[in-house]
Amino acid sequence: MSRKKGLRNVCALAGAVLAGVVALPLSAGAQVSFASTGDGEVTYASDVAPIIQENCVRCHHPGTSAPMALETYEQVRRYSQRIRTAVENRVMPPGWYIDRTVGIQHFKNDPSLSDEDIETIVRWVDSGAQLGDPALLPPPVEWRGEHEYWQLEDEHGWGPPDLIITSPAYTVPAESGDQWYEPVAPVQDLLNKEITGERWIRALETRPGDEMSGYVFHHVNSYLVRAAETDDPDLDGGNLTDAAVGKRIDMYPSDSGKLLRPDDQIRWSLHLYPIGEEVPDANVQIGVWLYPEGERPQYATEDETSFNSGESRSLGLPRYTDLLIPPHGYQELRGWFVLDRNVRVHSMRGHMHLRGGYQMMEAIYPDGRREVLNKIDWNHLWHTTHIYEDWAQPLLPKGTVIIATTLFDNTADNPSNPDPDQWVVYNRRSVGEMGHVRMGITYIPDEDFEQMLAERERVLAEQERGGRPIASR
Amino acid sequence: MQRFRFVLKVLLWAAAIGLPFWQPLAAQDPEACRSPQASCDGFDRYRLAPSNAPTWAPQMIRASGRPIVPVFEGWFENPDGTYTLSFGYISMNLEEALHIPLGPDNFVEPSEFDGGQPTYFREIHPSIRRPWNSFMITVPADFGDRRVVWTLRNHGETYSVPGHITRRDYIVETPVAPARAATGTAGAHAPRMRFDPSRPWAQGLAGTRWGPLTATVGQPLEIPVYVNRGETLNQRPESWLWWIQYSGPGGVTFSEDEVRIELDEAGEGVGTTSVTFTEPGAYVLLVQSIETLRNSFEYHCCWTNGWVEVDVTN
Repeated sequence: MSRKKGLRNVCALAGAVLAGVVALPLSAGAQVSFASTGDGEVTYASDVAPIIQENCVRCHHPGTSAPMALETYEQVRRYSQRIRTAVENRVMPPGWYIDRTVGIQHFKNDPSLSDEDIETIVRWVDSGAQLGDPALLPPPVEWRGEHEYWQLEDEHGWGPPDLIITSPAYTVPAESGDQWYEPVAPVQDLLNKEITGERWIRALETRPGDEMSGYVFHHVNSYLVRAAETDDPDLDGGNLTDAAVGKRIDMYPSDSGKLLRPDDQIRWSLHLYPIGEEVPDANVQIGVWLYPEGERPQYATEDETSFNSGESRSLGLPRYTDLLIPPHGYQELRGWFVLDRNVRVHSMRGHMHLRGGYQMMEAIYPDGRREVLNKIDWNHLWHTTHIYEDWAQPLLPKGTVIIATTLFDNTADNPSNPDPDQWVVYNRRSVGEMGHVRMGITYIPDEDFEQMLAERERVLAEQERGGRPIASR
Repeated sequence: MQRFRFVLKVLLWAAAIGLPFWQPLAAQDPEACRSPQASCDGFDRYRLAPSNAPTWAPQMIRASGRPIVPVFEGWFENPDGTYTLSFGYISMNLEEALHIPLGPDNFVEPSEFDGGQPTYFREIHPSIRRPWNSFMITVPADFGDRRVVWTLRNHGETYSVPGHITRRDYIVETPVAPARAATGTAGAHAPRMRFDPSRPWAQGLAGTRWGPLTATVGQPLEIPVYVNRGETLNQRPESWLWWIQYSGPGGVTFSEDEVRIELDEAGEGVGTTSVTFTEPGAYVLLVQSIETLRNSFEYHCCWTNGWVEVDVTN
């Protein structure tokens, strides 16, 4: 049995979910109407095609794992009823599982359709799915494979990466258990071009090195190892970037970065799945976007920092490695953390395995206010990093208590559960469990933090006056 | 009376018409409710609405009185085409260890696989936490989709877990983790193990059995374990043993339960442990030989199991 999982599977999942939406498609031979439409009518050519092209065709084109292409009017019309249902219920586009009823809702990388786009599609289907004037169709797009494009370039306008780091290659056997490949190598040996001095990173993206590599990667963690220890804790090594199924990018705030030195080494942790056929020389590439040479951002970011549910060493509670999830049942874990410095949060990402239910991060501020920052409804194939809009980044003063809650779902209702009859324990395999949330954080000195709070208050007041959504305080 | 009959008729008709469309909430099919098209009032899998399914919290760990639960770790194929199902257990007790004799409180079904399971269940270990992959059952090549179920009853509750070979996700690597071995990661190879220098080496979870040795109550029994890491020596000329009691009627004390072995240039070494027994009877001890104790068990690979039988008399 082939188990093709990996970074490529975002498209497979998207297609599978769409295919699972129960609705009768129009028959393949359904007559296509080219009747002209009157003013005010919604047509495919002028209204729907741009939405589909921008949001759907990245996965729904030939050569991907998606079960149907959505490049032409005929293709889209055939599945119009399914598409209507999928977008109306926000099943599509996939990859965004933030609970929309609680917490912050303003992100830089939310792929969800706007309410207006959804209404346009619904109206188009309900009014007969007319083509309209073919002359208004947007020009077709040449799509590149998951291993050939950079999301930050194509979708966020960052241009091509300044550097590309290629991981050491490993040949994944056809049949075996989970694989962990953990080499260490000098960064200069892995770069596509030499760097001669210290450089500051402002964004990173991980992609499979080639098509087959995309099928075997579960996650990739990479760490910077400095050649010499430093007295400045802001400049020590630590995490470079993590990527997982459904997660590619990290973007730092415009005043923050991470230091890369020419004599650094990179320690890798590649978690791979055999897929029933050998995959030779599997590897990943990390695209690096840099600040201009000689420019140092105001802050060195800690970036993704792990908050474990169920493990608060300072309180001496049982470890999260003691988790035990009953068959056909649930388990809830919580971790408490007291911030000893001011923190600005620029991103949030959950981590669980196949029995994941949801994860929720709350803040209890020093003045006693309690706020849900976000709740992530878990989907094992989408380890999305949720990157906050600048004006919505949580500002957490020192003394804030963070509560990290994880709920495991070992019932048959969990569609990714491989066997609800099992007692599930902690371990590194996907059939074992973990529960931690990674928040991208930057420590902010007191004086700067006061200024950030004041600026946030000003933005909030402006939003309030304008009747716009209120950002987190 | 006429009016009453009319009202009754209307009600009966209404019931007859409405009945086929009515379903109690409990009768709703959760699978169907997950469909975006379904409208199931009150169903939201992420809200996890009140349910009679159990919800546990780790705070249930206490010094004693808490559950001991069997765990199915996974399976692997043997060179002869048979399969091995691997089990372990997890205790929620920080201090209490428990004897659960074979019988109605500790049994494996089908009965042909019963009898080899542990009967002594240790408390939580400070770092390793629990015995991983400690109990093996070999099933035939044509085992198919059948199941082997291990049941433990303790502290008034019953806990069962099924083992099977139907899910590839549950494959356990043994004796080598190829990707970790490629980079020399600690714990990527199960060290070879034997109890007698004249006997062949054993390697991997299926391991080896030794004995029965003989001992006297209260008198230390020295047990040497020979280890060979050969070409996998890498940067760490050492290996580790972890000893636990597996079964037996009384208590067992190890002079050291975590034993560090210095390896020579050929990657060989020996670690000796003294074991003392409190009562006469038939005992089984389990020793696990592993490259490093740090985090290694979490990967489910790689170590070698050795089960040592000891007959203890007065």
